[in-house]
Amino acid sequence: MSSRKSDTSAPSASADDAPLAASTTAPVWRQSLIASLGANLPIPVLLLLLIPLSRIVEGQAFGLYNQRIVMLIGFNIILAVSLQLINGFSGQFSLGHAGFMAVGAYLAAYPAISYSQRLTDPTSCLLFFISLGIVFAIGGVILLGLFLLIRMTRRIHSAVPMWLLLLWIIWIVADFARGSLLDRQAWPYWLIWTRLIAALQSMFDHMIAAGQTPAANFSAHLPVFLQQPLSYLVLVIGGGLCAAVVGLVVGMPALRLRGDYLAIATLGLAEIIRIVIQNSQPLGGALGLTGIPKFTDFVWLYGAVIITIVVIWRLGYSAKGRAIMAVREDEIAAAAIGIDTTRQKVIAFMVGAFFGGVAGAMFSLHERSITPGSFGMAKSIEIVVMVTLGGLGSISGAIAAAIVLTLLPEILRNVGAEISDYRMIIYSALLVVMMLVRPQGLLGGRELWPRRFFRKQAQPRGFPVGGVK
Amino acid sequence: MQQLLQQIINGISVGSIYALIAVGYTMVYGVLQLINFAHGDVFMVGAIVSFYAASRRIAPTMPWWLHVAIIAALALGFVVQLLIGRDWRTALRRVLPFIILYLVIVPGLLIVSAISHSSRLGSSSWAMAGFALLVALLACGTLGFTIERLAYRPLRNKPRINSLITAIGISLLLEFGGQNPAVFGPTPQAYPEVIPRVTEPLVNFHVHVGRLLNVVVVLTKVDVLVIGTTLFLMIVLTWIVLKTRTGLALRAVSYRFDTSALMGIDIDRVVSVTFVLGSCLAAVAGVLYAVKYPKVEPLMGLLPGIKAFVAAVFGGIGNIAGAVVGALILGLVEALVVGFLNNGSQYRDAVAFVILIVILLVKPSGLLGKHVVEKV
Repeated sequence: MSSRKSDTSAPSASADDAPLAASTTAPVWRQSLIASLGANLPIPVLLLLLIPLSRIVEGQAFGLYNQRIVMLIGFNIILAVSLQLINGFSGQFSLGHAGFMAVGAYLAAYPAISYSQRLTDPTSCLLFFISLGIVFAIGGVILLGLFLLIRMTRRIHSAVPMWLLLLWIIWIVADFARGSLLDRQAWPYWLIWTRLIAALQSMFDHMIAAGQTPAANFSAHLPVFLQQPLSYLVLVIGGGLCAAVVGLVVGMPALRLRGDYLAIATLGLAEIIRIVIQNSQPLGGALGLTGIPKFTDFVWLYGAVIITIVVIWRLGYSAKGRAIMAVREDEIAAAAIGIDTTRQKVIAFMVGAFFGGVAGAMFSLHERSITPGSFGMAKSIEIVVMVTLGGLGSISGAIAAAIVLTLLPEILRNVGAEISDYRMIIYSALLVVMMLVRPQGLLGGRELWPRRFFRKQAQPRGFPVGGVK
Repeated sequence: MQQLLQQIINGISVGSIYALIAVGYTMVYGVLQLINFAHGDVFMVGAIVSFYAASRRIAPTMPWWLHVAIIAALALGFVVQLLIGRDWRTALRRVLPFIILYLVIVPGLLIVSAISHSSRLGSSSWAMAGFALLVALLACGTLGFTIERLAYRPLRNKPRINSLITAIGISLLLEFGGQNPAVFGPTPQAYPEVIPRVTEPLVNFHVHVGRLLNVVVVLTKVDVLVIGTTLFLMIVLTWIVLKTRTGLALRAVSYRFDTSALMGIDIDRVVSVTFVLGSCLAAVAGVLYAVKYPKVEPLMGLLPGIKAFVAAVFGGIGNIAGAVVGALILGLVEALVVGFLNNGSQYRDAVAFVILIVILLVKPSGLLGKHVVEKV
């Protein structure tokens, strides 16, 4: 989250504040230092402001109901802003944000329950993520290698890889079908896919078993006040990274295609994730996970909100962000000026997925219990409505829409119980009317506040250097 | 072996229903390059309307607020047309189809309701089934026409993402509107047995190949009905597309949208016809689905809709034959997964998505689709 690189040719990057007025003659490094301070100072100030605010929000007078709404708004802001990067800035219409949220939520809740009930064991949580990473890396390399081999057969005929791939899938399914009927001891040697999965599974178990005692010992030697925050951070960031990896795996193929395929592919992905979770015993099946330690509070959540907004703001309005937006505006023109369009899309997709996973992880560590049902299509749609309503390409619009659309049903509920029946109808009608009347959304790509605090808007400098490959 | 043959029959039967829906997707895509997300919900509306018809619950009149809302919407549409600078004749011409539709629906509802209450139909007879199907066809045709006119046509020259969002919005509107207790309610309801003894076996195939194979495979009445109807409708559709003037126009529009307008084809009419045709096929599929799995609910269109879309992509979207082939393969794979995988029925719905992602990876243009190079 470093500030923009100052460029030597333009002294205009400084503002007309008193210390900066004389800076036309100051050396470049000092200019950039002061500019960087000016740009970055609001962040710690805002973060510090959260502490007195949390006193108000968590106080008795505020009420549990209001506190819960404030927390919900926080989750929704993270989700909406991160989806804004995907849908608004890169123009790739993703309908599966709840899927990333589910990945983050479950992969943070599972190690928390299994290895670190009171969140006192950050190393074990780290061990879980590392083992998971290694196992999936091995499996992924094998599958990817085979896939690439199959893809090479397209030199023979363009339809050959598809049929080979279909045969491969049928083989795997038949393999699992046979394996699931037999005992583990009775597996014949040719059931290689069942055996591969079993081997990876036992490898994961061994890694956990071997590492857990040393990890617990290591954690016990950490300072006590660091144990809980550290495990929380490990869980949240780990959940986010897992979501980002899932985003990469799905994004790589789907992002090469046109936008509407991506919409349906992400929708499908979110459904697959939900179905897999629903049928997986360790993750609690349809009943979900219960007994998750609660740690997310106002300061953590809104700290994450601020960081999400800052990161996505800086990414979106940097040279890299210009490249991402260029892909949205005209993919062919962007490719013609040398932007690697798929790369830009994947970057936007992964960063968005990461923050979606972070929101999910924080959500699960706040709710104490999660079920697959709370990450269904309705949730994805809700986030999409927020982003679209706020204006595609406007971060402040997404924030405003997240706040309004979280508050609105609660206010309507107080007006009359009957209204809540019409909530989703109103949402969907809003979506249609919005597209017909004002397709650019309420804010339409503009922001509520200037793009740079404490600094003069840069003079147009021609071509953005640095971010464009 | 018996199970394998039986699952293949099930798969073809389910696949035929998917094929009916998938053809609607693929036709709309072929003409407009638009994924009509609301198509699965048109299917749902077909099932629910036929459910109301078959259980004799069609009201003779609309509630008063619906009249007020429709008249207000028509007046508003007219005023808006005037405000954006059209002269009153053009404005009237834009609103006219809906006025006619409204004027037809009011007595139409009376007639339909009267027929549904007549004792001659019988509650479980072929006449009743035909009547339910007819009502569903009328309702879905109207719905498809209205959706295209109101939601897609104004956005035709805008970026494609806008119509995609509108389509999603319409789809949600139908789903959540149906979940409203005043319309249907969120709880599933049992579909009446319109065709007597529909799930009973009709034919028992005795497959006998030497000593190797000696099994009995059951073909139920509903399977025969589904497969037969689909076959018949596909032949009719092929005839329409290949032999009629409308079909010629349809092919021309899907070949080159702008050029066909220059050649004097009324594009708006062709698009409307496409939507009405697709929606009617979806209505038939909805009725067949409800007869096969006798349960209706407002979310029932979601999964079949998505699966049919996957089938359309699998076969090469925009290609009618491809949609049918893709739907049959998808139905077969699903049935085999359910039949042969341990806990397979739980993974049944994931199959379609796996196929989708694989096909997008390897051959995005689909089985029978042409590879289209994107041009400026």
